[in-house]
Amino acid sequence: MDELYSTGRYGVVDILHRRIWVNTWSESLAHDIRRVFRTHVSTMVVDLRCFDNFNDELVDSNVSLNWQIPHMQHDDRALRISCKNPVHDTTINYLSGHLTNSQAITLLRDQQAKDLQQIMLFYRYLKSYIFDPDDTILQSDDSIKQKKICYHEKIDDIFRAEINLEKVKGKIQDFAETQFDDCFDYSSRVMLAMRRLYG
Amino acid sequence: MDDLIYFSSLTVSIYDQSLKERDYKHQEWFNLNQAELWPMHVNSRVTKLDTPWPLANTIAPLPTRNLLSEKRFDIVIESIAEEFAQLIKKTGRKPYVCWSGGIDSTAILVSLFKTCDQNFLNNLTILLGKNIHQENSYFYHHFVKDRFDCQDIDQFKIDSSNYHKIIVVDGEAGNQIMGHAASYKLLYFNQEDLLDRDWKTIKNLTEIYTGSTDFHHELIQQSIKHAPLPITTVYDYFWWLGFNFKFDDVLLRKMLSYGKYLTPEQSNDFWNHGLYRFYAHDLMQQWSMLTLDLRRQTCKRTPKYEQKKYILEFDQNPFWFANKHQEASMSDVFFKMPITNSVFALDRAWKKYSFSNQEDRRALGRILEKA
Repeated sequence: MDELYSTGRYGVVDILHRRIWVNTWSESLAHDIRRVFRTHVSTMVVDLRCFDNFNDELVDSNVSLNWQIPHMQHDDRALRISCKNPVHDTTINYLSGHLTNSQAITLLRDQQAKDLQQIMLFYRYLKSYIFDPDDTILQSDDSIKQKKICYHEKIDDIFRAEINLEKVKGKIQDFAETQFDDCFDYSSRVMLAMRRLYG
Repeated sequence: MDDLIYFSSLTVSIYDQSLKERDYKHQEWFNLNQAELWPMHVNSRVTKLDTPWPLANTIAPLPTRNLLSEKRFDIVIESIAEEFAQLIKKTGRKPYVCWSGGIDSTAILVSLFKTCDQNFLNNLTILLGKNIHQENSYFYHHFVKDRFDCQDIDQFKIDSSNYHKIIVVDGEAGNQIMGHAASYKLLYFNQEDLLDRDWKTIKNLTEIYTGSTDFHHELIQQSIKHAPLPITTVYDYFWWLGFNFKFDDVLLRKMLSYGKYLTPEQSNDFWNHGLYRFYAHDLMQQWSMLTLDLRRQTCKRTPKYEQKKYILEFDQNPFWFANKHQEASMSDVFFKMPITNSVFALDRAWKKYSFSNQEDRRALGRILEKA
């Protein structure tokens, strides 16, 4: 499961409970996680370097749920939870203060939070490892490109629609198997990743 | 232009920015919209407001007697759902439910799924908001998709051919029943103790209600004297703000959209027989008054706790229960209406007043002493 390990300066941060669900070095990946998981939890992408005690070793996927950003006193731009809030489409880099090592008080039990985090980390892994953003195929012939984009969207939809890791894995595997003829490279990478991660 | 049941001061002030300037005699009424979530159309359900425009009495008077002793949200919403199903059976009209994926409309769907028979559900069409996959994808895929007839709400049209054959349910007034977002903001800012404080002990209420002025608080406090229950705490104060001043607005604002292709007579018929509002039902309003103290406590766990708990018991989705928060969703379609639609007022006979009509513009100018 070390393959799922993640760290980095871009935190996917719970808007209301202020805890860090996942952090990664890829800003675009952080926003992908924010967008896809929005149906499960409202988050924003924060540049954790805003906080004076942040360093590269401080926060990672093993401990990030126990780290909180400070309250955004007198600044509620990011607090307006709406699909249309443009603040959420950008990385928030105007905050300051200390990250605190504390448990967020929420209605989610610790294990439930970890379960959701595992699904996010699985998504991050698939996106970063399997779907290389520099994939030359994505820049190729229109019809192939459309198939690839559609593949990405279908994967995203599975993560939106399911809340259980086993079901996500099952659906991803089923989907990849049905797509071998149309998207052999993606599907074979998905299958390989599934074997590496989960045997 | 008289007896206006709806008058969007926001739309009018967008048309004429000078209405908000300091030297205009009625400017305070047009600057009210600067406060967060203040109604575009303001009316008080317990007092007569001295607006510069001819404001009709409320279209949503408070329930006269509070006979309800039931504090359980599930029992209340399901009894309303049962009543709605009976109405559909009796009238033979086709039921449509607007579903944004948000908390208010999801609770309505759950109540219908739990209480209605298969004949009703087979006849039901769900009008989907465009943000369903961002708001509640899990619920859509597990309880709606492939089970119900669904239609894109943006493609749904009410006109002379169908207005008398349908009944539309929407989640309007849910926010006013459950609480006010200003309370939830205090929770975020770690000021939850303020919710329990007597509002009279707050030195400057304008500081805890973003964008508000003394005039807002004069209006609110004047109406509190006539409230049917004690408005004691800051939580009560914010709830009352929505419950008293915004109820008419949320019930009427969609009529600009629903009634877009209807004559005044057809609009009147649709309003009286074609709309069914769960959260404006007398039972729900009574529940809201009865559980005010309870909700002041439960909102500290999560806003709209009762509704979300009800949904959780049905869909078993702990993430949505713990994380979902109130947001403008389906209403956004209609929030745009006052800006994209030139209609700025409706009178009691459902006549529309529009900036595209020169006579209406002149009449407005005379009323507002701007001619």
